[in-house]
Amino acid sequence: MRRFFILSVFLSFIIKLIMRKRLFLFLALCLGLSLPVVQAANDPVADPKAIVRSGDMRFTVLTPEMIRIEWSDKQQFEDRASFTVINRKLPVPPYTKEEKDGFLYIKTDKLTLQYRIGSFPGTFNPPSSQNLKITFEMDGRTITWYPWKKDPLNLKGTTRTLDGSNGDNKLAEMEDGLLSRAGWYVIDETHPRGDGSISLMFDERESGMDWVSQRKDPAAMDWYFMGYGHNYKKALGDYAKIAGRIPMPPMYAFGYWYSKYERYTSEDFQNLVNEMQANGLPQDVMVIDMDWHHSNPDLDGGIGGWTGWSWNKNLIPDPKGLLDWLDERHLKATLNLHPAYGIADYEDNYDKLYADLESRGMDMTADSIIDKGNRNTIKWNLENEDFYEAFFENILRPHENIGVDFWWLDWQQWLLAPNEDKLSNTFWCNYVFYNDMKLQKKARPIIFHRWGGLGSHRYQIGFSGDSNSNFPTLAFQPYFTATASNVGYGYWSHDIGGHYQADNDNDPERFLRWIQYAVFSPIVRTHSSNNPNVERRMWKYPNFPLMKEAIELRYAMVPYIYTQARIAYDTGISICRPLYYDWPDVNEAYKHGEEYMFGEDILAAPIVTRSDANGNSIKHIWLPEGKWYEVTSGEVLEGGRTHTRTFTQSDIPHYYREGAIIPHFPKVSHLKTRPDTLILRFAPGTQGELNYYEDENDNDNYENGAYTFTRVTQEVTGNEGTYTIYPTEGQFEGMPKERAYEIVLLAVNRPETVTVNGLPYSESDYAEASTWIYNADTRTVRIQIPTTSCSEKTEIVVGFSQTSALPETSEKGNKASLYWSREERHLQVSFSKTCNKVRLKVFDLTGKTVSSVRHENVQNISFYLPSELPEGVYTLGLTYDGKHETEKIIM
Amino acid sequence: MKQLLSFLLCALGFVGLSAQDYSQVYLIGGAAPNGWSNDKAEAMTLVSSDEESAVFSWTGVLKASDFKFINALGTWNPSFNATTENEQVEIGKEHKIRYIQNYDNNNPDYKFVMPFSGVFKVTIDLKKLTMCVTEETGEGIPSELWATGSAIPGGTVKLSALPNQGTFFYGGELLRGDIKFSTTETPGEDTQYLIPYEEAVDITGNTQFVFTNDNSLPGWTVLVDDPTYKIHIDVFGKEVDAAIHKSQDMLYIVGGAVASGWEILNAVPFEKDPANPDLFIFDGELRIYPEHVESNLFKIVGQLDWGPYSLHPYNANEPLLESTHVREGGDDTKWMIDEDKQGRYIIKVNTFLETIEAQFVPESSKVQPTDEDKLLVLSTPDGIRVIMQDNLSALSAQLIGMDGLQVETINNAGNDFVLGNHVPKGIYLLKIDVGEKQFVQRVIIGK
Repeated sequence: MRRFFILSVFLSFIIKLIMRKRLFLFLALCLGLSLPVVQAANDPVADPKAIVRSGDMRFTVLTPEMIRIEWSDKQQFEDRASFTVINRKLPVPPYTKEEKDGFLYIKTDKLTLQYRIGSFPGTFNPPSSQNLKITFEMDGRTITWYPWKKDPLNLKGTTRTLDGSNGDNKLAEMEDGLLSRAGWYVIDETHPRGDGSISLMFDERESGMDWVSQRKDPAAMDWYFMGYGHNYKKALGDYAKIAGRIPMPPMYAFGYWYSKYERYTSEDFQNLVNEMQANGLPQDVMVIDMDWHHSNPDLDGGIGGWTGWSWNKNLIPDPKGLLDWLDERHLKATLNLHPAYGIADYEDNYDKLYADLESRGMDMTADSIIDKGNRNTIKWNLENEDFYEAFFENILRPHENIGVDFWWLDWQQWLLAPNEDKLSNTFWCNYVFYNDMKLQKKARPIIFHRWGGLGSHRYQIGFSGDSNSNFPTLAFQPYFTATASNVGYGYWSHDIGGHYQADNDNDPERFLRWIQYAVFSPIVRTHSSNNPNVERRMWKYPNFPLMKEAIELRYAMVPYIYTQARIAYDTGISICRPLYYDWPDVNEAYKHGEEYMFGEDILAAPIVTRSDANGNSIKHIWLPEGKWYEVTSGEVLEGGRTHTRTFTQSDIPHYYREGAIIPHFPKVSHLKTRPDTLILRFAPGTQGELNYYEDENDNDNYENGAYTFTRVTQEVTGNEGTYTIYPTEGQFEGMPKERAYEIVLLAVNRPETVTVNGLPYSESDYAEASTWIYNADTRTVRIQIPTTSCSEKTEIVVGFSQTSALPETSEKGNKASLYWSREERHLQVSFSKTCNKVRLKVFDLTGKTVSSVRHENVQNISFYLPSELPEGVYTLGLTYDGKHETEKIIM
Repeated sequence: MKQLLSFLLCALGFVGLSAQDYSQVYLIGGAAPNGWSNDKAEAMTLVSSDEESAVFSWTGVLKASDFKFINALGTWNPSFNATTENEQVEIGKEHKIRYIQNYDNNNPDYKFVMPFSGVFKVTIDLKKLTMCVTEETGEGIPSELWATGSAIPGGTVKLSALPNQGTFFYGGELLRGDIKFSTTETPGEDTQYLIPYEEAVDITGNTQFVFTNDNSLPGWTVLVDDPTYKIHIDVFGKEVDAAIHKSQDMLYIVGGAVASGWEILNAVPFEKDPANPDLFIFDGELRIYPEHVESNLFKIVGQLDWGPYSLHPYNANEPLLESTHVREGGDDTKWMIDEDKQGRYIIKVNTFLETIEAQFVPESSKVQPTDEDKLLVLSTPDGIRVIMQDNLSALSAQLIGMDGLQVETINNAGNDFVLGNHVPKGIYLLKIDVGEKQFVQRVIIGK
């Protein structure tokens, strides 16, 4: 019934497209974007033509590289959806099957499976290929897999939590992922995970909340062999076809979340918001930790504890009032839940819950239901359908109905459900809470909880938990977060700043670097333990301007990030992904875990160590083949090598891929409304393309075609560049009909002419509509295009003054080395050869020149900055023999 | 696999004899290589089996600690135990053992205890319930090993022998291809080859091997080529452990012989050589601090925590100045300093080659050790004084910081000059150009 409904919605959408004559373009977009053709609905029953039976074995050919292998001596095979695999109805790839000399052979274009007919598929002591093996070609050699073959080359996935994370101590707990340098991986649905759980089955329900069920044959084996070689992206894309897509978080989730474990009152929350706004700090989510409920019997009149369900009116006397107040300020609210210890009799709506459960036939005297010795607590029993319905209706709905936007779950107790064999509590909480919100259809669903095994990618955001607050722990997070993409779990949210922080250790630099890393991570959420001496209000720190600059960069990048979230939905490739996805055959790509791709076009290498005595950080950054635009300096660097770069504390090292087009928002204070200007930043390159994505931001209509793509391209040939914004394709309610653009061309020579749709634009000293500005120091052109229709093409043609629009990379010609001594305010510049003309300028944060010198025919310069200059962050602009470099310094 | 194994074992147990399993037995304990991990217990090899006996043997290194036997991996029961508590093993003597299905007061978990560490052969008969430990002389254990195959640049390379008998090391490049190990450099009649126990496995990770005389049998594959592989071979344990080396960011020294003692958060950092990411240098004081536990000992860690990375000597309380190799992880052994050599030490650790080299610098000496005999470098209150030997004269002398930045230059420095008067204390590179040659030397300013 549900499948029919979804199919009918899809068909309805197709009809509408045809009527709007956009079907061709829609299909072209799909092909042009190389989007996988995903079925209209998930169907766990495979096409019968894909199935090969042989005694106790059943093989299902899902893709040329993926075969399901089942063994059951009862010959009971599963066609239901499992926790991991919910869709097996894929187009049947070409394959052959043959029985010969006692073996069954199944061959696709990529794999050959050989099975000894009538045998148990594996051997022991040692495992071998005697009874079952799969071979495929990789890098010119034949790779052999057999059951229980070890794979030490697995590239890892993730782990349930970073509780207790200290340095890289969690490395050993990371589970295997779907990708391996050995070229294969086996999803084993029936082998217990570390917590003893397995991938159980779903029984369909009319309500849409399919329910957990045990496997028909508990002793059966159920594997999915994946032999993708080093085609990691295809492996993840095909995994998403069978395991379900990575849903998009709502747009607001990509903004800033303020959080701290503290007994905040309503007034405290309001003061926090007011102070943030007064300090110009954008925010989108207010996290309310566990003290929203009674949590301390000593302070709360003898009630309360780790688990709670009722507002603590001593702290928050008017919960709805507070939630409304937050909502008026465009803030979403989430409440923390530790559900494990059930519902005590002093909780609000306990009686209703009790009565509801009783009316459903539950034996309310049973010890498994009620803890009579502990305030008649109704035990947590989410694996029971009646409990789920009654609990959500009576306990959670009242909170949701007054404005709680989503839930933050923090399950830390027994990992297996007591009333359902081998059921992971973590996975089950993820599934139930997420799907409940989805079924409510009030907003785009989001659950904030932990990794619960394969399949959890369908229920995100991930809450990584209580890490230690130190640089080594921060240094582990880039690798950890990107590697989670190997299991599709691309939205980890870390405690930014660290959870456990010592007294008197409000280290400004460490907090800054953590925030800067967070800017290039899935979620930006500062947090800490309830130590009153830990400060998480950024504006209390002396380097707050740099923290704010980082948060503002995050907000500016949201259109890029959101577009990448759509790509994750379509392809199974998460935003933060390891370098080896794009460079799988380059050894260096596997060796720099601290670097990762942040979406398709940005390589991020945040600073995660303390600076030197001068406040600088030297970092060795490997850049892959190609040219890379270093955003912090404006330099274009040649890839295929490691660069040693020096950064100040205001820098977050990140690099645009050659030709990339990065959309930015103008300055915003929240993400609940769409700006009417879009900034498009064009990285230097001869060509590039962006498919800018938009939708309704906070509902699931995007799953049914309510979205748009706006294609943007650049073509640079010789001394002319053409930058084109194509008419927006697709539609959704509230889509912009028109908008203004700011076109930013990075690292280019000075234009001679700028035309927009044939209309010449004149140069200006100010950012006025229909003009352009060239900044020789930063080598950027900004073109202001006034409000224009989104359904019309906009073509910008720029003629440059020199033979090439693009400057050389920094490696060629004369090279400058800068050495800055903060203590002495002394700058030393050495050139690799004598410079004819050198100009050195110092700018403050407002862009005002505070000092300037010129030299001719020099190779070394020694320069002391005026002592009367106040402390702060400045920018050095060094221009020499036609080249330009910038450096940020701190005085 | 475990699920099915358990299922099969349960099935066997149900159908058969509440039967003792005579097909497998494993050595486990503090004396054993993998300690008390019951899923990594040492598999013993079946030697012979008939109606009256089921004999297994195992040869390898046992530590001076306790051990017993378990019947299957992953479970503590059934087991084969000593018949008395903490039964001391008498080398060469037959001991009785006891088969225990489940521990209780009548069936206590008694263990054997090895009197000392060494290489031993353990023989057990599961039907006669006897056990004997004999000392191995090392005969038949190869003293040299070579790596061969298309994965080895040049085709063949000799492995270095590590301090523990029967252990070998290779640190270097592997190409995509195949690799096996042999007991002779070139194939001969007596050559034995080490090949993997399991088929078609990659060299990476921990794998078991077997000996064979058949050179045609395949070795390990190398799927990932890299210049920095590390391979450890334990001939007794029949294990190969290989991994691509990852350079450490930091090393720290911690211990009773360090002023900050065993306070891990105050462990003293090494300096990292800017030209070699795997070379770390400690230049500091090591003394016997009576107020510290293990006052003359120390070890090395890779972070301000006890794990995950640590370096140890191969032997407990190994004299620092005699030590040549470091071991990653394993037993918590420490280095020892001599009572009459307390003071300044320069310790160089190479984490890729797993070597250690230590120098004791007597307090009276102001001379800094150099690799070049054409230079004499003296510590002075004003920096370092460099005296060129053999009538050499420096055309230029530079001091370069560990961050690669040049901090001082003297042109036409001559044959006797001072550098480093106004630079911060620390380790620097000294580069001297005498025209036809350049000298590069690590020096210390201000110590």
